[in-house]
Amino acid sequence: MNLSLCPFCPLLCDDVPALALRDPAATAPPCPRRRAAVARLAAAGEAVPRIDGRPASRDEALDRAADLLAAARMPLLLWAGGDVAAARATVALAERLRAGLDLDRGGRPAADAVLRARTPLVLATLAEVRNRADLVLLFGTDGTTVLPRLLPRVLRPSRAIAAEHLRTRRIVRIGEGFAPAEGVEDIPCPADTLHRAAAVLRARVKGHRLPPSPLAGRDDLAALAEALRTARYAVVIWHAAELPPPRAEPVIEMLAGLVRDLNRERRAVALPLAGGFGGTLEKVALWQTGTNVPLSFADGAPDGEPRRFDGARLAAAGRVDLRLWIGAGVDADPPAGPGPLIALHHPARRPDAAVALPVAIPGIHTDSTLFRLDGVVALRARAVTPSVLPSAAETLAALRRRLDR
Amino acid sequence: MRRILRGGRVVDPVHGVDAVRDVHMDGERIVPPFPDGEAAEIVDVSGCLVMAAGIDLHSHIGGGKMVIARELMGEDHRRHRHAADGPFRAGSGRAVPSSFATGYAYARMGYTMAFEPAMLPANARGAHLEMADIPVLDRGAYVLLGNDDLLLRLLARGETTAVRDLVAWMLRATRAMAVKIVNPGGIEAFKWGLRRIDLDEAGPHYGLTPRRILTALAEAVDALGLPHPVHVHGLHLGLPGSAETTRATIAALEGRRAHLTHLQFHAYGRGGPRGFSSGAAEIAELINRSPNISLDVGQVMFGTTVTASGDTMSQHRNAAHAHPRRWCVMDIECEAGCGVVPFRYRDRNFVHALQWAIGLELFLLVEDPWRLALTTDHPNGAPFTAYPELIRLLGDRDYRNAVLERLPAAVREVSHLADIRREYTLSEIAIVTRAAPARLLGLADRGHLGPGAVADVVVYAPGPDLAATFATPRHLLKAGRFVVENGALRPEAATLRGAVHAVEAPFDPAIRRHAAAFFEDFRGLRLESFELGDDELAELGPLRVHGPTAAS
Repeated sequence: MNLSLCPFCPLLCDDVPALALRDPAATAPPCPRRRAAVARLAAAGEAVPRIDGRPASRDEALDRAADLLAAARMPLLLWAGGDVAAARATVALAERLRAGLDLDRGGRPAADAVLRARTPLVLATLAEVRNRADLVLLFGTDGTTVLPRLLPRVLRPSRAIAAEHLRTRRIVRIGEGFAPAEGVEDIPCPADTLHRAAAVLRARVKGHRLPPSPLAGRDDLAALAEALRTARYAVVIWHAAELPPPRAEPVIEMLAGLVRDLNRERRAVALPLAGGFGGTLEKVALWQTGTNVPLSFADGAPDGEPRRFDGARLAAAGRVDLRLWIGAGVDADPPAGPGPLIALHHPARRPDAAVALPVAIPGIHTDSTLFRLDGVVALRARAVTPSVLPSAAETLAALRRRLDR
Repeated sequence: MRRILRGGRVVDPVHGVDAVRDVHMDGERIVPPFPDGEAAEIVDVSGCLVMAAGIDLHSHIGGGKMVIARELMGEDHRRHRHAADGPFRAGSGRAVPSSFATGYAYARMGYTMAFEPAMLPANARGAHLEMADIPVLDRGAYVLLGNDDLLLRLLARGETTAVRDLVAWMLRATRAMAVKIVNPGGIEAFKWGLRRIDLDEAGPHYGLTPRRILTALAEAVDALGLPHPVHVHGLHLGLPGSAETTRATIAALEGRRAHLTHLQFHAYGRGGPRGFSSGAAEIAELINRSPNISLDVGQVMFGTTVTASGDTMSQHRNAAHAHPRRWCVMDIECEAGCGVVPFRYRDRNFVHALQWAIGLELFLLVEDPWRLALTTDHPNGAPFTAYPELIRLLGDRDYRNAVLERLPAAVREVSHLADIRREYTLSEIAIVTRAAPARLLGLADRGHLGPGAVADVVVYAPGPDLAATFATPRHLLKAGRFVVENGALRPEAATLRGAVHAVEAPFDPAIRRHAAAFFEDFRGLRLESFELGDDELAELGPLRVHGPTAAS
């Protein structure tokens, strides 16, 4: 069977049958995200550029977009997804425009990035988790809603280098509203008390005495703390976008500290999850500018300060007069916000934008390099079907050329 | 285009030249002298020094750990920002400059080649992509092996032929220039919870000793006839007593070729009132009578930087000294790991000052410059931009002793540095910064100015201060074209993309089937996804493939 790499989520499974668009149902693997994405491809039809909702030629649309960009004084580039080539073009255009640059996080703050830049972390990539974990704690996420094949591909493989760890591996979820899953233990915990549960776990692992509280008294958390303390390779997993926004940062900080504490005597690692390809832009921005997003080129030089340049915050404060949204392969619409919107979008979408430019889907229509969610492994997804649509990178380069004219 | 550099003092130690003479070039190569009338341009460089361009054989310029390093060094990047300037891209950072800035800074310093010494196989695609955004430099990377489960399993079964095939296939799959080993077996042992492993201690899972792993890789590299010997980051990095381990490591190699990298960090004794002393003299003495060993120093220079290494075992220990207090340690893909720890070397700190002295002692006590490369292990000892200052310390004894005088008195009590009279000559400087690195990497047409060499040539305007001389060359030509002219980067440099250098050696295709089964069983990845494709390589710039030398 001809296998290919699936570019629809940052797990980047490479064991899926090569896509046959005519018969998506027959070839789709057991993954709802892929199934839905493939169905949308088949339904995409012939997307055309639009100016204020009316079809336009690509040249007209690019001209109009370039005019808007040239007139903007505080443009913001918002990245929802794309490949390395698109990320390079995005950074170059942001630099050219002296624009702000951030991820589209659905209005959430940059919790993981803030933590990475501030807090000591012990991390692992997917293959380490797959081969070494003897205890997996999914904290506030079931993992599979965002990454449907996380369990079979990573957490519950058939073989592992640390075979004994796999044989005794426990998978524990803490949170609420999870669909039942076989062989997975659940510890119920309302979302708004997750931060307290994290604190209780860390304190118990460190052997601190706890002031009495409902959570401190819970036997299941005490037992979990003991399991963490005695695990040979504990893996703590979170997904920032599923944590309640005001608590996301403290929860992650506490979990990072828990993992660090566990490493005093034994081994433990953290694995932050991600649902999209924000990481691909983050990597490119860091190596090309030295600075992670959110960043600003307002004075010409890259300036990164997560809170100050948070895109959603700037937009809400009216400190943005144009938004350029890059959503290559992202089956979603851009968020609402101030000023005209230029959208590089999925061909199945019709975003409400001043200029809408449908672009090729990375790894489907174009050969594309994407970073897997663990940030270390970049993989090449090769085009499976031709498209007349230009890539996001080509579109961004065309805009830059127009600005330079 | 035919060009003559006229009347400079040519320092070309490969040919034993240190004399005023002309350099002739035709297109991208140095050629034998031709009549003036055939030259399209004659550049007057009288009064100047002329050398082959610099070559850095150990500088962390690309890969995931440098991306993490930048993320941890926010203050440094905010303090050192620069806007785009014409065709030159914006960037930031002093300790780990952004990719474009890295290329510009190396070119301004007269360097045209640098090698990333620790590329994880899983990160090869990312590392090559990042390095493709470094303008000007020709580049390459050493693939990190010896802690990966795939190789260790084969070795534990005694399949040494398969190990050799695996090494050759890995070089091809990741497009690497050499083989690197970091803390042999130690990174893998750290994943099982060990915090220290000794040369003859059996590893927790495969029962392999670091000695066995190291010698197996040294043997495989020699059997394949790779130009560069196995590039060794030894055990016990940074620990008092590491000098003893280094001596035992050299003995364990039993005459096999090896390049011992950033040896300064592995040259510490346990003597003195503080239990931390210099082991440089003993190590230099051993190296002086071990012609199979080459080294680079990994000199420490004072200031803020970030340490980044595949050596998770050491970096997890060093994390206690993080400044500022943040760090990242990561287990990576059953291959190795990475540890990134921001650090500040302070001249008033006894340990840091002694590290500085130990590095210089190594530079000055190792007699054969042809086996030594000038490095700071960028950015671990200091950013590569410290090289001119380091050159001054080597070539100017009065200056060196003046700096030493400013350091804690306790350092002068335990270091012999003040007694070392040696000053590097210009020829010796040229050897450790270009001729030796080229020779150690098997780059026959680099690092010298003889006919046939690639015309990567640098022209310095000498002055009393060696640091100033080497910091700001007057001209730099790469493949016969001006990159720096009259002290300024030419606009073409902004988009000049260098070549990727890699080695190839033959392997039994059966190793691919073996690796494929391992990848599918344990990594959850098909081999086709892992291997770099030719289409991808074509996007990285020209590829220069080097073959095996005389296989032993």
